[in-house]
Amino acid sequence: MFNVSLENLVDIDLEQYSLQDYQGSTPRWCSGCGDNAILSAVQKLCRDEQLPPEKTVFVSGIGCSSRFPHYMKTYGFHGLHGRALPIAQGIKMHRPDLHVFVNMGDGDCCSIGTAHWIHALRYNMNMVAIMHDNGIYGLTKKQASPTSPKGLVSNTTPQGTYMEALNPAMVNLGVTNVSFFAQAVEWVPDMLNDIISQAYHHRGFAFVRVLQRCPHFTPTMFDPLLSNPNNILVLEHENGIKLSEAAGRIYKNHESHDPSDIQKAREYAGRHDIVPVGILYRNPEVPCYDEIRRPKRVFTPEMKEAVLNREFDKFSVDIDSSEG
Amino acid sequence: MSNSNHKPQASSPAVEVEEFLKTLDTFAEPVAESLPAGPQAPERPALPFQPDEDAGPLNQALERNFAKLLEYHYTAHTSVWESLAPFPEGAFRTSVKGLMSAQLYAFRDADRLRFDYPVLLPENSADHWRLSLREVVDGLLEALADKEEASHLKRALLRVERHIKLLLPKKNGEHLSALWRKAAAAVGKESGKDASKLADELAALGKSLGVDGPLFGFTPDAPTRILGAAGQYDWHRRVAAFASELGDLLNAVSGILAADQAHSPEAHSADTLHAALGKEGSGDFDLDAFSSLLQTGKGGDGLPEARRRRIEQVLKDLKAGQKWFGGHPVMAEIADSCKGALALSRERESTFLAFFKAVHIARLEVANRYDAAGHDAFYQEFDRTALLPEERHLIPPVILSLSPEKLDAAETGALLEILNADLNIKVLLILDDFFGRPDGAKTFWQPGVAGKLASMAMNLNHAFVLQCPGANLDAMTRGFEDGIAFDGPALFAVFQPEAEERTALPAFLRSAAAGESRLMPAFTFHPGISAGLANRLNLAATPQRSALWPESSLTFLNGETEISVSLPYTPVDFLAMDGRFDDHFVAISGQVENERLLPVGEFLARSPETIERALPYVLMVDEDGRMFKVITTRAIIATARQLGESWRHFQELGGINNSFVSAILEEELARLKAEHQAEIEALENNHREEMERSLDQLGKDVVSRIAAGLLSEGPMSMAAMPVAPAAPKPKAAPEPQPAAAPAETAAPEPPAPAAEEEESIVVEDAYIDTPLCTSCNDCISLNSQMFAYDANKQAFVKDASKGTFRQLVEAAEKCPVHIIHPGKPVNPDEPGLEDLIKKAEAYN
Ligand SMILES: Cc1ncc(C[n+]2csc(CCOP(=O)(O)OP(=O)(O)O)c2C)c(N)n1
Ligand code: SF4
Ligand code: SF4
Ligand SMILES: [Mg+2]
Repeated sequence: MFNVSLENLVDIDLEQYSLQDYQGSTPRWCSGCGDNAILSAVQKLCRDEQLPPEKTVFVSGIGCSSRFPHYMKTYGFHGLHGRALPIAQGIKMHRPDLHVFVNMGDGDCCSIGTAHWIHALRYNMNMVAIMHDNGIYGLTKKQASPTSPKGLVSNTTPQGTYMEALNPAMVNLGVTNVSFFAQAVEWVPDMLNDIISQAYHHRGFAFVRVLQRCPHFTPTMFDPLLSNPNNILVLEHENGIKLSEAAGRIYKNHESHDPSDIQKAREYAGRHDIVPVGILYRNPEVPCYDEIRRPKRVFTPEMKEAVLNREFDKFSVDIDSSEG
Repeated sequence: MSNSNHKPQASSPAVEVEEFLKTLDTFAEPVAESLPAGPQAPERPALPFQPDEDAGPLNQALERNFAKLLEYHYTAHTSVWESLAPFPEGAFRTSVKGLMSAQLYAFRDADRLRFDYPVLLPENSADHWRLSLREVVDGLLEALADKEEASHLKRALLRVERHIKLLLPKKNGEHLSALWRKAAAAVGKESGKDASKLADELAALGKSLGVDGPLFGFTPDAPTRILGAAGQYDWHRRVAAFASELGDLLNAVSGILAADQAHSPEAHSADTLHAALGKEGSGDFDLDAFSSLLQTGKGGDGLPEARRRRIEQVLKDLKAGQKWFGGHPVMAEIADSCKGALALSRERESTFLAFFKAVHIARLEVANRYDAAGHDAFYQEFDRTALLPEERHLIPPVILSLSPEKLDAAETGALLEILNADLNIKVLLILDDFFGRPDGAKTFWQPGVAGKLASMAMNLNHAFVLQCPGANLDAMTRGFEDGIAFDGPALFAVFQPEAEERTALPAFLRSAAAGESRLMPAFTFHPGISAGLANRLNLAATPQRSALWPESSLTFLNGETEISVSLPYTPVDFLAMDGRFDDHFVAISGQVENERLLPVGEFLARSPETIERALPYVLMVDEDGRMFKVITTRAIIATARQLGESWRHFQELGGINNSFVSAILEEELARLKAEHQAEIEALENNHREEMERSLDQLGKDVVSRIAAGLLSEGPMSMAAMPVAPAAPKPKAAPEPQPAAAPAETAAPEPPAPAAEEEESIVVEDAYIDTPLCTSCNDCISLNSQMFAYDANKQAFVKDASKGTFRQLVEAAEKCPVHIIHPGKPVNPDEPGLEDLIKKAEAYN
C-alpha cells in the first residue's frame, strides 16, 4: 500500500503528447491532396497511443507520399526510391524497441520496390507499412503507375495504359506468411483511423493500402467511389472494423467478414464490381523474422570490443619493416 | 515422482489403510524378489508368526505376575523382574533390543529397500533440479519394458542401483556418471561369463541418461545440498529474463553516452579524424577542412553535466551488478550461523539496492523521462520499499543451515529476529533427535525445544514454515520450492537422523517413522495465503492426516493360518525402537491372552477410569520372526498422549476435526431438529383439526340427508349421497397476476417520431460536418481565418464573417467529401449573391 514503486513515479511525471507534438514541418503537398488525410490519421494514432516521438521512426522511399517523414516530428528516414522496406527492416532488426512505420507510393511499392515488398511480406517483421495508392506517379508529374486504371492517359501513356491495373490486394494475400492486409480510402476518417490503429496493434507486418486522391493530376480517378458510396463494400466484423454511425449513413453497402478467413479475403480482393474496405486478413500467429532472429544474448559494447580486439590481436602489422 | 502419499484424505478406513501401505511403499519398497539378497542380509521368514503351542502355561504365568507388571507399568522400576514367577522358556524378554515394530517388519532388510535416496542433483538440466536414483533407474526400466531381448538388463539395472547405494557411504557427493561406471563394471564382474559385454551395455545405458550431477545418500548434510540446489535452480530461472533486459539497458545507457560523444566537438576535431583514418590514410584528406565542415552541422548542446555524471554512475552500478546476472549466475555461499546470515543478508541488500536504483534510473533515462526536479529527491531516499516485488525476487536469498546444538540463547534470539523480519533468509534446521534429558534429571527424556521451533515459527505468522521428515523427499522438496519462492523468511525443519548403534532402524526408516507416528507431523505454513488458517496450514504431507494415528494392516501366521489385523502406528511403537528407552519396555510372547492386556491404540483411546488396572502393549517381532506383545510404562504412555494432543492441536488448526466447529455444528443441528419438530407438530395439529371439521360436517350432512330421505317418498338414492372431501383442500393460492395488468383501454400512443425533416431544415449559419473532414487542407488554404482545424485536425467554420459568402461556396464546391454547408450569406450587400445562393443550395 505504501510501497512506492517506480510505476507510480513514472505516471506522475508522464507528460501527455498532443497532436502538435507530432507535427513536423508544414506539408508541401498540393492543396486537397489525400496524403494530408493519411498524415492526420497517423498523427492521431501517435497521439492516441502516446508513442514517444524519440521511439518512433517513419521510413519512406521517393515520391510525393514519401515526403511523409518530414511532416512527422519523430525520427525519419527519407530513403531511396523503392527501398523504404529494406531500410525499415534494418532499423527494426537493430532497434526492436522502436515503432517503425513505412510510407510508400504505389510507384515506390508496386513498381521499383516490388521485390522488397514481396519479401517484406514473407519476412513478416513487426512494423506498419502504408501504401499511398493514388494510381499515378505524382512527384514526377503524372506518369502511369502499375495501379493506374486501364486506359489512363498520362505523360508516359499518351494513348492510355494498355494493361489492367495490378491488384495489390491479390498480391499481398498471395504471398507466404502474409499476416495483415487492410484496405482503406483516405476520405473516410473514421474508418481510416480504425484501420491504421488495428494495423499498429498487429503482431507482424501490417500492410495497409490506402486509396489516395491526387487532385492535381488525376482529379476524377476516384469519382465513382466518391459520388456513389455503394461502390465501396465495407467489411465489418467484431474482429475487424466497426462502422461509425455517421459513416454508416453514407456507406450502406457493408458485409460481415471474419479477418481470419483468408479464402474469403481473397474472394473479396478479386472482386471488380466493388472496392472492399476494412481488414481483409489478419493472423497474429505467423512467425516474425525479427523475433526469431532477435539475439538471445545481448552483447554490450564492451563485449563487442573485446571480441574485435581478440580477432585483431591475431594479426600484427610490422610498420617499420614495410617502410624499410 | 509418486505422489500417492499425498492423496486428499479418503473417508473410508479401508482406503486409509491402503493409503498407509502406499505411504510406506513410497518411502521404502522391497526390491524385486529376483534380486539376490546382499551378503549380510539375514534370512528371515516372509511373515511374522505365532508358534502353534499351548498358551495355557503362558497365560497362567501372566495372571500370576499381573500385579508386579502393573507396578512396573506405573513405576518403570526394573527391580520387579527379580521377584517374578517364571514364564515359559523364551516367552519373556526384559529387553526389546533387536526387536522390530510389527508394522515395519515388511521393511526388515535395509539393503534391499528402494526409496527416494540417493538423490541426484542434476547439473544444467532444464527440467529437473533433483531426481531420486530410483526414478532414474525406473526411467530406464520403463524404456526397456517391452524389449524382450533386454530382460537380462532389467535385473542388472537394479543391481547397478544397489551397487551405487553400497558405494555411496564412501563416495557421497560423487557424480552419478562416475558411480555408474564403477557399479556397471562390478555388476558385469558378478555376472560371470558375459562380464565385459554386460558391463559395456550397462555403461552405455548410463551414458544415455542425459543427466548427471552429484549423488547424495540419506546423510545429515543431504537437505542442505538439496536446498542449495533448489535455491540455485529457482534463482536461475528468475534471472534469465532479467539478464536480457539488463543487457538491453546497458546497451541503451551506454548508447546515450556514445551518441553524445559522436556529436561532440572532440569527435569532429581534426585529430580524432586523423586517429580514425590512421597514419596511412589521413595524408590524402584535408582533415582540417573536413573537421570544420562537420562542425557546421547543427548539433545539440550535448549532455548537461549533471546528467552525464548520473549516467556514468548508473553505468558503473549496472556493471557491478552484472556479475550476478550475466553468464552463469552463482547464488553465493551458505551461512552457518544466524548472526552470520543476518550480516550477509544486510550486505546483500545494500548491494542490490544500489543496483536496482541504477536499474530504475537507467529505465527512466532510456525512456528520456528522468526529471531531476522530482526524481533526484526520490532516489536520494531510495530504500527497499521502493523495490518492486519482482525485483525483490531477483535478490538471491541467503541460505542458513543450522544444527540444533548451535542454537545457544544468542543464536536462538537471532533466529527469532530473522523469522520475524522482512529479510529473505531461508533457514534450514536439521534435527536428528527429539528428546533431551532435562538437566540433572535421571527421570525421563523430554521432547526438546528444537523439535518445536517450527510450530513456534508458525505462530509468528510471518515466515514460511516447513516441517517434515527428510525421508519424505517429495514433501521436503516441494516445501523448499514454496519457501524459496515466498517473499520473506522461511524455516525448514527437517528430521534427518544419522545411523546410530543404539537402534536397529536404519536412519531413513527412522525419519519416515517419525512422520508416521506424529512425532514429526509434516506440514507447511504459508503466511502469504490470506484465506484462513486452514488454507495457510497444509497437513497434506502427513499420512492419513484426518486420523489420530495412521493405521496399517499386518498379516501374520498363527500356526498355519494367515491372520490380518489393523494396527495403528503410535509414538509408543516409535519409542520402542529408539534404544534409549529399553527400560520402559518388556516383551511377552505374542500368544499371551488376557482381557486386561490392551493394544496401545485402544488403551490411549479409553477413559482413565477404565484402564486403571490394564496394561498397554504394542506388537513387535524378534530376529526369527516371532511376535511379541511389548508392554510399556506410564511414562511412555504420557509422552504418547502429549504427542497425540499436539497432533490434535495441529489438526484443528489445519481445519480437521476442529472442536469449535464441531461444537457449533452440534448446536446448529439440535436447533434445526427442534425447529423441524415444531413445524411437523404444527402441521399435524392443523391437519387433525381440519379432518375433525370435515368429519363433523360430513356427519351433519349425512344426518340431514337421511332425515330428508325419511321424510320424502321413494327410496334413498345412493347417488344422492354427498361425497365427503378426501382431505381438506388447501386454500388455493390466488392466481398469479401479471405484474402490470394490461389496461383495458390502450394508453394513448406516444407521439410518433417526427417525420424526417431533413429536407425542410433551413441552414442559416455556415457549418462543417467536422467528423467527416479528411484534413485535406483545401478550405483552410482558401481562407485560414474563416476555416480552422480543431484539436483532431478536422476543419470547422471558425468565423464566417472573416470572409465572403463566395469563399464559403467555393470551399463547399472544392471540399472532396462535400461536408461544407455555406448556409445563408451574412452580408446582404455582397455582389453576385443571387447566383451564389443558388449554388449554395446544393450544399446546404
Ligand atoms: C531509382 C529511381 N528511379 C526513378 C526515380 C524517379 N521517381 C521519383 S518519384 C517516382 C515515382 C513516384 O510515384 P509514387 O511512388 O506513386 O509516389 P507519389 O508521388 O505518387 O506519391 C519516380 C519514378 C527516382 N527518384 N529514383
Ligand atoms: S501531385 Fe498529387 S499526389 Fe502529389 S502532392 Fe499533389 S495532389 Fe498529392
Ligand atoms: S475541404 Fe473539406 S475535407 Fe478538406 S479540410 Fe476542408 S472540410 Fe476538411
Ligand atoms: Mg503514386
